[in-house]
Amino acid sequence: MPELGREFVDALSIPSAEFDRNPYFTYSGSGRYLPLIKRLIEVHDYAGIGRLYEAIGAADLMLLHIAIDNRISRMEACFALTLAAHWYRKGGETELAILPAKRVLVEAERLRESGQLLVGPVTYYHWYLIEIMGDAAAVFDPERALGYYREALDGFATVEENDELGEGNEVFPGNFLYQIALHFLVEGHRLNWMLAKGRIPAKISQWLKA
Amino acid sequence: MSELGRKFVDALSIPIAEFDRRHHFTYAGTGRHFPLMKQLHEMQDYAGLGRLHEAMGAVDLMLHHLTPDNPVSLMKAFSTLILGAHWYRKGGEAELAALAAKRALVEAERIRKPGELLVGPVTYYHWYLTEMMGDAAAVFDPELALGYYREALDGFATVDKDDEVGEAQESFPGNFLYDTALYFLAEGHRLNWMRAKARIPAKISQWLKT
Repeated sequence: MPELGREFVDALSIPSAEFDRNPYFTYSGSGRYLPLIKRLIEVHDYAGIGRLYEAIGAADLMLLHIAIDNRISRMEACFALTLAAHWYRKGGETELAILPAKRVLVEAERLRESGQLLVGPVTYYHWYLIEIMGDAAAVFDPERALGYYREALDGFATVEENDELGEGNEVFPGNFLYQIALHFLVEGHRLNWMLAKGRIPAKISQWLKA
Repeated sequence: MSELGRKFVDALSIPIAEFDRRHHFTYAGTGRHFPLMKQLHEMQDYAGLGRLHEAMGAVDLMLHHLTPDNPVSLMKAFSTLILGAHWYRKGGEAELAALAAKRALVEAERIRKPGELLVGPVTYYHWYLTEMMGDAAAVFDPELALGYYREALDGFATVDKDDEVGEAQESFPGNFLYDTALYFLAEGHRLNWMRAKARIPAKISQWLKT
């Protein structure tokens, strides 16, 4: 598959000008790896998608460490690692799934404790983050995942009156948990996943059944 | 700080022609991250060095998955992850260190089991690998590390008569464990680390002390 190697090298080859132009540049945000994901899905190489997301998440965390101080980007990096864990699991790579999931929890816990996500107009991102932590924990500890999901659900309830939450769900339909839902969860319930009220209880019952 | 970000982006931006030219291409092998590494070292940003090596290791593992190469380049990928673990530890990031080290062990155990490295003229790589596994384990379980080191030592003894081992030790002074030794261990003993007979017992005594 040397042509896939080329696509990967190409996805990571970001001209400095592009990096300079975007102060919140991240590898996952660039979306340059999406054609490669499509190819990997076609060849059913799910472990490969796990490795891809893990590489991109690790690269973004490095970039965040040295160059970008952006809470949303950090959350997206955590999310990339969560996707890595889920794809690894789908690819039968249980051991490899657990490590990035634990990594997410270490990084996300710091972001959560900093309280940065509770500042400004997008405080509901704090609850998205906790939901993502649930997704990460679900890979290796369903009980712990339940705790995060319940906390996220309570949190979303506190901002329910906030129009931005509804808008956020419309604006980012392809983001965060929806992607996981789309790839891994019950296909018939896709639309329910769009709202925390529907998607978190559904996840809880899914993990309880699994 | 965006200057550091640029250096990282540059390190991952590889022209396709360069990738095509090198049969055993790895990101770590290009050394394009050296300027950034030097700068982080000057700033004493050891956690940053951990993130850098972890990202490079994850990227190389992905690349290896897509373009299966030889086991030697895979070894380089986990030696990079192991360096990530050691830098994390030096930077006080014990949790991140343990995760990176465990990741390296999962990968290493896979190529060790089938004995791929025990075939052909470079069988001593098998013992290098075992020694590297000791370096990874040392980050979170010194007892486990001792086991690997002792096994490596016994293994090196079986190939001691092989001139190639001696030659390899001379030819690859910047490779594998020497990198680790150079960065983390007693500076006064650098030359001794070149030979397994001296360096493994020295490591054992170092880990026993810590």
